[in-house]
Amino acid sequence: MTAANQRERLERVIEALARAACQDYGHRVPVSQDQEEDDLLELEVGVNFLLEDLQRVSRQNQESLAEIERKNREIADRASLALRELATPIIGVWQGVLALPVIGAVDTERGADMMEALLSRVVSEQATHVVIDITGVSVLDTRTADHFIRMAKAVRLLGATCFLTGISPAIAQTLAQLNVDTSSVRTVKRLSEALREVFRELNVAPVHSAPDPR
Amino acid sequence: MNPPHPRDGAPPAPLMKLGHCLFVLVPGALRDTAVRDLHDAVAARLAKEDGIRGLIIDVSALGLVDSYTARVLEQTAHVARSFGARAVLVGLQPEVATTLVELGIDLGSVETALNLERALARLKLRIVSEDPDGRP
Amino acid sequence: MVVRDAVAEALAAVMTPLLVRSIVATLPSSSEGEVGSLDMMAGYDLLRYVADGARIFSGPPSVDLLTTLHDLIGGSQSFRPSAQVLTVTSDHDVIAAQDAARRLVRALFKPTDCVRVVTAVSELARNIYMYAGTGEVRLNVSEADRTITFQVIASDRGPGIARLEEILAGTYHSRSGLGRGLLGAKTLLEGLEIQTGPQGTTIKGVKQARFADIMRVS
Repeated sequence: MTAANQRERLERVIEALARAACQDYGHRVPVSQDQEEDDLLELEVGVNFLLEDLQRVSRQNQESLAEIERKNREIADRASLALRELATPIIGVWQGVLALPVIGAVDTERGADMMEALLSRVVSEQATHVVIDITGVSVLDTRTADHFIRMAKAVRLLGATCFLTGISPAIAQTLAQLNVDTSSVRTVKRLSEALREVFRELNVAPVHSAPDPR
Repeated sequence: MNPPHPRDGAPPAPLMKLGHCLFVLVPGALRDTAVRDLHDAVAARLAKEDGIRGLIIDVSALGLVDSYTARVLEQTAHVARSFGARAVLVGLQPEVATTLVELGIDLGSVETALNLERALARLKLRIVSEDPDGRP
Repeated sequence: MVVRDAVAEALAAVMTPLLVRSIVATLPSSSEGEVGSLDMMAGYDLLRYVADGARIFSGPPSVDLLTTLHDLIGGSQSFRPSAQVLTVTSDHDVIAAQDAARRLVRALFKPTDCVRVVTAVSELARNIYMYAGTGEVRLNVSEADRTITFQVIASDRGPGIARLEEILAGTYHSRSGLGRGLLGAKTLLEGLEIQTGPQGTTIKGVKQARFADIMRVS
């Protein structure tokens, strides 16, 4: 074996190790078939076995990581789905009467979900009256209030009477200043007042025992 | 070239008389000319006949209501009112209602009902059903 | 590989052979095509079909399974775009534009969003024939990076839209309704790009959805 040849082979080993240092474990030290057995050969083969091991372990790690990420995503998806369902509590308080007490933060996505869920309940139960109470909404700015007014208008368009309760006088004033038309929406200060009005329209006295509200 | 529309040449939605009410079932797709024809047909009928107290517009098949259709429907309701008849819009689909309010249209001047029964009840029109023994 | 076989392979990992066979046996004819040959309409139609079948037999498929299926059927991370171009010169063409838009997005967005998109297209198409006489509506659905995009480009050589800023601010109320329709389209879509002048008008509107969200609803 010439010195040049020896140097070349050493360089190839160093190259393979350098690549492995950069996490490229796919590279191998080239070993020719008719290479006679010498110390350098042991080194070359040894390094290749090492690289093989490294590659295998690295692949296993990546797969485990991917699996963990996948499980995490699934959990997150399921959790947010459950949260979204919890977040749209539509209560059937009476036959044909639905109440939606909104509590907490309402972002665009939750708002849209609520509207879809409510409208589809109105149709499936053929509701006559709906009361949307927004007293518990954590940040009731004009944009959010506007969304709920639109929700009430949509319910009315379907054909049910809709009350919107929990709008403070301040918000009501701001909405008026912004020329938001609330004439087709019945805004009432308190949920209890709205319900009393609903039962009056249904000719039902809430005190007496009543038919099964389903 | 656009594909030919199957509804070309089809007759407009007919106006039916139910007691003292007019009833119209709006088809699934409504071109501008068709909705204007509907408006004109209602006006003509109300001008010709006395004693019509209600107009029921059933839109349960209508999958889309945009600003133009909404405006003409509103005008139709106004025409009915000017002849002393109450107009009731029946069966608007939830997705259509959502889109309408997002367009800023609430048809506040038009009455609405979830189904035909309620519309008829509101217009105080009783459909008397007879059982086989002839009892109402 | 044929799409049908790709579906069978993906489902075999999570379902019994009997269920896999029954779902695969009733796949629509688009499943006879080669992997990678389907466009957005056919691709998502097929995907929803499989998802519905899977749901009936073994509960809602996970977004991950659907993602795997999507990539296997598509041969990559996106199906080929679907597009349609329509000329608009009358109210009849407005209906044609509505129908075309509905067909394009039906398997993609949830029902309320489909109605939003189709209504916006209707408003833009109507503005063309009412104010410019004639024009063109280009519809396009495509996807990239797990995001689906619907795009509408309404263009004409009409007189242009006067008082555009007032219309978009909602302060101009025309009796004819041009402003209403334009503002409506802007609300229903996600952003509207409007270029208008005496030589004509081009309006671009877009609506997007994430794969994970639209597949969750199915």
